[in-house]
Amino acid sequence: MHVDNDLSAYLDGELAPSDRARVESHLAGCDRCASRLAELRSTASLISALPSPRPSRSLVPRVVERWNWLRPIRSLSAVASGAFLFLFLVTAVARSGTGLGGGGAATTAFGPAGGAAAPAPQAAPAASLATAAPALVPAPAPVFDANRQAIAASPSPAAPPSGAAELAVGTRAASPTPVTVIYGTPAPDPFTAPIFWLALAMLAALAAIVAHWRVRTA
Amino acid sequence: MARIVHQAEVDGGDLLRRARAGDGRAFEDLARREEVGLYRHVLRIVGTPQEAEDVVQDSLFSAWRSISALQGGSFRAWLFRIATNRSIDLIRVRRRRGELPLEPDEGEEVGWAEPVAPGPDPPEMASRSEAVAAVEEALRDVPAEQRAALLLRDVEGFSYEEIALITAAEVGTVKSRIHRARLAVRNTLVARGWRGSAG
Repeated sequence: MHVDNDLSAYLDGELAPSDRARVESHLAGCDRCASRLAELRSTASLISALPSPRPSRSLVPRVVERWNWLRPIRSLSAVASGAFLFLFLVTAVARSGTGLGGGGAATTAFGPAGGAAAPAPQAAPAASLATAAPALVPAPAPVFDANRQAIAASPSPAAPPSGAAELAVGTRAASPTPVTVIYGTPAPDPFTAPIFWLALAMLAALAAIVAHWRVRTA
Repeated sequence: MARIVHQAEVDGGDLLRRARAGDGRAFEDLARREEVGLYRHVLRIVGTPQEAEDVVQDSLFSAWRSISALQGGSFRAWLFRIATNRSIDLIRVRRRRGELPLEPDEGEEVGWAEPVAPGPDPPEMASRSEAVAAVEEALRDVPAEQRAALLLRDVEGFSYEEIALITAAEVGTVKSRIHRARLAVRNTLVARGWRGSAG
């Protein structure tokens, strides 16, 4: 009796010793089964020699969160950005307030020019910010007073028609004439320059964004 | 069933211990070792690269989620078990949808086709790619479960006992599947004029 059904297992060395001996005994006297065994061996060789295709991308899931060390940096950068932005606003308002020399002065300076001398209710916060300015701007130069007098003496054409001090502050900050004189005071302190804090805020925000992106895409 | 320890398992024993303890980096190292083999195996079962990549990726992720359940045995065989099961499931779904033709009954007897007029042997074919294509085509005609068993044996080198663990079948069933699959490939090649015993 032929041993066709045992040939693959025999080829793979997976037969029990007794079965193996039986098959070997048969193969010794059966050319047909020996030929079929050779065919199966060739078939197995062809299959095992098939090339190994490779995936087009990595298939290993990322179960480890890389760039974890960036997480605290991301948080710190975000907080720092907020803090720098706050400092920017404070210094910007302080500078504006210094330029006005106080809320009362603003009203005095711009009131006649706009034709509305009565201070608006919004003048109060602007005045308080302006009076707080000396604490942040340590040394208002004498030239400031001269400048203020110059402003009062020669009304700007860009002066607002209303007497709203807050609006006046904004307009004056945007007006080239007083700003040039006020910010041109000698020996400026970089820590009181709004642009310094704004730059830091932007840098910190950029760092936070980059860190966030790297953590998310890791 | 007996516990089987593969050599690669011995080498990666420390990685496996760490992975089971929840070390994701150790798991990634282990998975990277098997990535290409899994892809090669799954691709020849499901047939399309995109589906094969998805199956392997899903299998590896599933393995990571359940690695604490692996109490012993071969990590490699365990990965191949997950991937093979998913591949066979995918084939069944596609067959139910009519995307694939029905397979012949596994119990159906496979005869030995007689050689026709002798043609070139695959190793002697005009190009290696032609020989490879002939064998790949022959494999595609083999029923999925038989094909999986044959590939696990001839390409991946698993023993019958390991294949029985991977495919959740009896060793006798594995023996029968491998023989039928190998014979089917041989018959397809013979039908193309292959002089089998000369190869």
